[in-house]
Amino acid sequence: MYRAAAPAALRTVALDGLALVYHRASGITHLLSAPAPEILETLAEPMDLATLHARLGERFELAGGVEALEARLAELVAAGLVEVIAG
Amino acid sequence: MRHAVTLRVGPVRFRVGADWAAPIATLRGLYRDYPAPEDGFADYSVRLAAPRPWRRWLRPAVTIGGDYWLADAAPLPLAQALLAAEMGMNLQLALGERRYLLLHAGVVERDGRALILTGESGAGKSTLAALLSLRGWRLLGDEFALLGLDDGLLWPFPRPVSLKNAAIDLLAVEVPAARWGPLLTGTPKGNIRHLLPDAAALAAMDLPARPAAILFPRFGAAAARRPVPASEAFVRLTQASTNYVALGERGFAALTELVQGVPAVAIDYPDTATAIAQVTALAGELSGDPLAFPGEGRGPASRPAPAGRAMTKPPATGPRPSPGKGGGGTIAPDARLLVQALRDPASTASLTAADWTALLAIARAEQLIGTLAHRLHGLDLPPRVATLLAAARASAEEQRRAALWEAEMARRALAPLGVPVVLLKGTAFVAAGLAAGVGRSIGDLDILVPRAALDRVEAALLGAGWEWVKPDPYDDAYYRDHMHELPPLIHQTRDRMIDVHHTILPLTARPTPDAEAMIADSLPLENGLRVLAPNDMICHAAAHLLADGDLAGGLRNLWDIHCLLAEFGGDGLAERAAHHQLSLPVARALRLARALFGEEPGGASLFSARLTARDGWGRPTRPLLRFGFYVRSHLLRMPPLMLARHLLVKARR
Repeated sequence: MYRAAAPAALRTVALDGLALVYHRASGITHLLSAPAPEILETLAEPMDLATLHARLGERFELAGGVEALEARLAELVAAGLVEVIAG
Repeated sequence: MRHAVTLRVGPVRFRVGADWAAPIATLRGLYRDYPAPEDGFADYSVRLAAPRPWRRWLRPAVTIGGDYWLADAAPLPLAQALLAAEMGMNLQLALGERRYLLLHAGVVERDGRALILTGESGAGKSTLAALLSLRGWRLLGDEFALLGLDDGLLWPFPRPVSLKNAAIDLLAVEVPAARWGPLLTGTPKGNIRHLLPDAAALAAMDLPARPAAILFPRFGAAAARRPVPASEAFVRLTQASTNYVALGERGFAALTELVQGVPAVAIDYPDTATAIAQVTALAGELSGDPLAFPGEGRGPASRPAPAGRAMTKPPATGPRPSPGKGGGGTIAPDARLLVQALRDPASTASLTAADWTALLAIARAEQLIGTLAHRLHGLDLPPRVATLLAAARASAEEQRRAALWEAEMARRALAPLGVPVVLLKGTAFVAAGLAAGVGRSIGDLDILVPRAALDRVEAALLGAGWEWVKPDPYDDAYYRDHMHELPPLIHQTRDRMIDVHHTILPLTARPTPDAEAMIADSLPLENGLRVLAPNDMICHAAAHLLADGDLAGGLRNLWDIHCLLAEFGGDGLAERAAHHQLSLPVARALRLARALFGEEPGGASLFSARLTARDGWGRPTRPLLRFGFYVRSHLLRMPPLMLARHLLVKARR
């Protein structure tokens, strides 16, 4: 299962179609391009990879399959914006 | 120090001390037209000292020291002491400043519109700023742009402009000799000569200006100009900032507002005449085009620079003269000044401006500036001291956040192992919300795990982005055979160190604390991480202070112990200390904490003399005593034969 940092923990400024995100818990600034902001938004509620892929697919055009999404997720986990939780 | 001068540049006051008279005389000459400081208070201290006592006279050389310094900076020849002083002042701001967002940039202003000139070294920032200042622009600075965190204004910092090599000749034809400092030859950057800002720039050094554009000049290419997207400008400015990360969310807010509020333009130029023409044309467009100033509340473009806030007024209640000490300074201060301020904050009411300068220098050297700032919070302090301490509190808060985040990332990496992870020292204090953590500076993350789980912990951390700091076979074997912790690991992207302990003292030390019991009796936090039980926390702090290191940084550790005792009382402490074979260090730590920070401070001892061995410039003093404690620390940790071998290996490096 994956869970994103709570929206209140993020301060986001839109710049040139990108999302500049200040993560309050870590003090780290991230410059995110699609679909990372959308992933964070959707993962406000914890879910597994397949569910996330389905949810995102309903709302956005997703390039690549589940594998591409998993790779994006791994980056967000390493950055500390998404946490892997038991369940 | 033997020779000293206090300088005022914009909102910052520097105290520069030197082992020699000449550098101070040169500085006085170069800064002769600057407004005099109001009193003896300085935000930062810079020390120009010989690396060894004989190097004052024999091939004299200058090391750059101060409240903040770089460990690996090479000494400069005495003839370049002016350069050392300028670098020292830059270093204080770059590493210590928390009141402004600092950008490595030149700033000039005309008609109330300020241009930020930034770019890599050699892009021509200083040369352009100096040339523009000769063509009707006011120089705010050639080294740092000081962006106000609350007002979004650029505050002047008009130091003498540091010109190098060809730029010196270029400007020499336009500038009268009286405005030049001495020519420094053969510096690491070639020839350097300082150009004094003109009288108008100095007269207006308390008047901030509103930013109008961010320029990225680049010398050596065909003339070109391209708009820089706000996102790119943001990233480049974070790279040009020395304190963006340390400022946390306030830095983010100030910088996003800047890049959203003003246009950013990259300018390539083949020669300075072209650059001046490009900048002038751009400024003309900015003034004629109100659309160049999006964002609310920015007002008409021609609005003059707003008057300086409180900065333009003489301080109404500057640091007060000491009533009972005959002008202060008669007794050479040592770190008892800091001890007294921490113990009895109200006693600072009698400090002179010079005492405050010394107190801040000592508190920074002992890494207790954040603690001091919290202790003095709410008192009626001299305004400039209050501002500086407010920034120190904000900085400590950022350190707290960073420490907790590092602990959280370690928790995530280690959670799958299911082993207890006990936080130690500063991170434990802030995670548990203890008084000892308030304002505390925190460096590495220290954790304690069961020895049996060490290999799995190591593997999990290596898998989650941590790596060895110095992969060296001797060090590695030494750590694994004799130490109480793994060799230090550092995180690849966050650049933070973690020390993984399996007990609290080196295995070679005589006391053998019961690490298993410490882990078994540790207390869980909400997130699943753990902290030591109160008495174990005190035992660990005492062992760390007295049975391990050489008391370096000991005042901070002793303050921890004082706070822990005040918070927990210490019931059952003696029994617990005996169980860990730590009766002696714990008893001594209690005595020292009472003697230095207690209600009725006690007499002097060798230990308290060692703990307070620092002068009013923050320099270590009492070298023999320090050396004695250094040898003692090694004897405590290892048998003599092993020590001899260890020192031999270290000496051969």
